[in-house]
Amino acid sequence: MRAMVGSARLGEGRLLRLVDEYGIKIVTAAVGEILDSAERQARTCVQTWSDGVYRGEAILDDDGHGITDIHIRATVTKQGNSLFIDLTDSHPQVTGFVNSSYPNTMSAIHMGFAYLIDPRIPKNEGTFRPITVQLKQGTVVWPFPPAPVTLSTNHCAQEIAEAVIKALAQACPERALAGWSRRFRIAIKGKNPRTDRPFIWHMFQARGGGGASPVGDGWPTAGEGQAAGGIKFGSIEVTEVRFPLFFKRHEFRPDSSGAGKYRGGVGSEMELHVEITAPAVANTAGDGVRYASYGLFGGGDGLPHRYRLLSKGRSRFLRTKEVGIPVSPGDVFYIESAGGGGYGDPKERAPEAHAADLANGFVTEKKRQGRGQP
Amino acid sequence: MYRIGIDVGGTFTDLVAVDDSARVARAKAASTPGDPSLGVMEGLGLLAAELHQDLASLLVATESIVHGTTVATNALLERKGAKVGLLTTEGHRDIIEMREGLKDDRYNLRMPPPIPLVPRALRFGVRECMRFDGTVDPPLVVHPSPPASVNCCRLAWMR
Repeated sequence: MRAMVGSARLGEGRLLRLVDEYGIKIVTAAVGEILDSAERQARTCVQTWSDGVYRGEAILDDDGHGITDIHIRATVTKQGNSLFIDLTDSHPQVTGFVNSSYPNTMSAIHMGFAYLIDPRIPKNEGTFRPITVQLKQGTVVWPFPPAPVTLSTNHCAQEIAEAVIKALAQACPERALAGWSRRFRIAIKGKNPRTDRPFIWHMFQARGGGGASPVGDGWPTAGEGQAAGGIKFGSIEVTEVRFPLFFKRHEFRPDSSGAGKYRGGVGSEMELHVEITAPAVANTAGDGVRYASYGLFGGGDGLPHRYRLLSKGRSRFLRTKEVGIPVSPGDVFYIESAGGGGYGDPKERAPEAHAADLANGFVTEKKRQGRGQP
Repeated sequence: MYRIGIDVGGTFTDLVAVDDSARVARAKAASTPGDPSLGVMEGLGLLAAELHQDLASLLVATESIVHGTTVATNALLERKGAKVGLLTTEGHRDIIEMREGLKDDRYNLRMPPPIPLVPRALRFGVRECMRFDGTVDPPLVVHPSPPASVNCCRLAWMR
């Protein structure tokens, strides 16, 4: 918080220095031009896409409170250099914390748009002027208060962006992106027997895969889609020193990516031993054990997440929105995270790329036969 | 006495000699990628000629030679170096390709992932582990040698 206040003050100081040097008129005009220029660049990009009315849908597994298959439906009208994005046909607001507030929904729509345009275009208010949005209050993308929205920056933000991208995929197939893995994290709270002090650990490891693009394979273990490679999981060694955890295994998950001319990025496999001496408790937060990262234009879906907890000799699958999971000394989490979706027909994949996938074990012989690939 | 600095680039090998009174002499030779030392020796000869001496007298009067090179960088960029294998802690052989979950350019989603210098097929897990407190458990078990197709092997233990 102090850093944010500090940087805002520094920005204020520098802006005032600019005004002192050039005068308010020139500075205001320059700021206006920065925004106008971004708008021009964004509109120039949109202009090249095909006009039409397009629909895209993304579905969340559940809200953790008994409501399942929560859809986000986008109807996108693309005309000239403008987009009209209508999300009014989305699922009614839900009990659990996957509702998205109005500002969060606007951010998520703009995130999807920012993923589609030329990445060199600056991201500012001007960039998003080509977009007009229509929402309906009472839906999961604009709930009446006091609907819980805690997970919304991840879910359903990612699904909002997915619905927009899937709709516009038909307008700009050469820019469209296959699905990235969703978030599925675990937090553990307990007492660290090495220090006798309480700890809370949040899992950033075992990342899912990135979606394939029109020009190449998806990034391995770079998911979640809402962050697109922006979350670092850091050093395994440091984590093991700071927390009573042992990462027995943390590698790629073979066969997890969606097949395609370009395949999705693989997810992870992780075996995590919890080295506690007194009972601890865990929560999960995320989505995507039922709905996988989507494939595009003939590309296959990735495998969804599959997490298990082995506790006192019993193994069970974890759901994505659990609270108060008892964790006992000696418990082991077996984590298989989702792979990214594929782009284009797998039959068009370059034979040498496919041979490399087999040699490197990204795709195994078993999967190859199962998918009827060449 | 002279101090000599040499930069072995991909195309040219550049040499500079500085004497005690800070007088500078320069020479330039073609780089010899097959054996960079040939270009260096030729450059030193040209540098000696520049100073109106033969190579032997220049070297006798030289107190230090510092050289830098882009050979290693170019080998990485052009992927023309040795075929490298990696032995690492079992269960963690993909850590170098996971890149800590980070992608360089956040908003460029049409950017294929980098090709790792050591492909997954040449990364081998070895049973060994050092625990958080320095305890070795289990101890290192020497595996069969990596395949003969590898002509350089890197050891990088996790933990």
